[in-house]
Amino acid sequence: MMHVKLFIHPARVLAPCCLLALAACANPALNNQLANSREAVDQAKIVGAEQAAPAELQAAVEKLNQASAAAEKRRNGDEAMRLAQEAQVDANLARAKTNSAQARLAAAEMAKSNQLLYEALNRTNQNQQR
Amino acid sequence: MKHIIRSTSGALAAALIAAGCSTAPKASDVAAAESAIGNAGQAVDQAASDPHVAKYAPSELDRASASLDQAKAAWSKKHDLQTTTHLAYIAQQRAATAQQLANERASEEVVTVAAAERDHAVHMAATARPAATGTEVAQEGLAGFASGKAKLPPNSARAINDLATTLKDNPDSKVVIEGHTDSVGAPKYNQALAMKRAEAVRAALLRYKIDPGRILVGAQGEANPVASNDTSAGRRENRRVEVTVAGAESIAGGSQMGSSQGSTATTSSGSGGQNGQNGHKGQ
Repeated sequence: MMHVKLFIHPARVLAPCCLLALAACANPALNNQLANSREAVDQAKIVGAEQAAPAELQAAVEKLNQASAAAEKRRNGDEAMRLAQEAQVDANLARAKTNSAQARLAAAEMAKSNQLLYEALNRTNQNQQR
Repeated sequence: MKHIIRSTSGALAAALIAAGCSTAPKASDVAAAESAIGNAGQAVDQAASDPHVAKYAPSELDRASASLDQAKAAWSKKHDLQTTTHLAYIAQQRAATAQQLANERASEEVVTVAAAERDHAVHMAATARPAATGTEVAQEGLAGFASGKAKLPPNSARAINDLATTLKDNPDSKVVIEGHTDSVGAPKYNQALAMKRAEAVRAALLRYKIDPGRILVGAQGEANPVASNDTSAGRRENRRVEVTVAGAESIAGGSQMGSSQGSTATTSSGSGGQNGQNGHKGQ
């Protein structure tokens, strides 16, 4: 039993290594860009871009998927790079749009609650002066 | 003859290729490139003209401008439509992102200001609500405490006298006394000093036989200046006590307020302020 376990065929070791090497060496700049784009899309999703900026987020996701597919097949390297870059700026815009919408909402709510507060205070003052 | 034909056709082909490289691009490509660059340029210009963008998102705006320049170069140098439209798109999205970043910060600023306004309104409601009788109390003379001292300023006697008269004329009213300091010294020290100043006014009212139960004292330390702490005149204005006469029910439950023991915290002597500035609230 021990002998069987100890013997590992060289091909079993080499095959994953070759795959890894091929994947890594295919296009480091593209892989790097894809990672950045993926990160940007994730960040946009985290802040809630699905609700606040669905069009931008969808564009980013679609471009990222196309770029990833092209990169896997190692075809259309330039096109994949362009798509990945556009996915990143689309995702950044989706995130900024979401954050901005949330901040605007917070400001509006604050103004509304202040308005209610002032009205309540004014009523109290008038009641007291009566 | 065949050779001649072949060589001429070869030369022709070469000439055509050469011509193809140097001739102007297709009209439809020119239109597409110009439109892409034009749109991106408009987006960048619009973002650049927004003062919030310059203030809050300058680096994103720079990136948008850089992409726009690259798009222009890709067209003017190589007539590469695909790269041009791609870079123009990047520029446009970055300009839009810069605008959104700026909008976000502007909204956050609105929230900060609104929060400060709300705090101010709540504070005013809790401590400075006008009395049911509408009595305004003279505040002259209750500003201009000597720096670091709680001894009443020399010209405070009249204000104290007026205040005592008001309280005697309105037996159901209460008085809120709040001490303030300038920004010199540690906040904790100033809080204690402000309390001592309020206590000094309280002690003076007690000498007029005002019921201690009608007097509430509080301290704001250096938190609520009425003038700039950058000038000596402003600091003198801030070293003050504010008093508010209010209907009995309206001042119950004010924060930081509490009836205090009758210790007179006016033992330290000082030169005293000169002519006390008006100490009443700014707004």
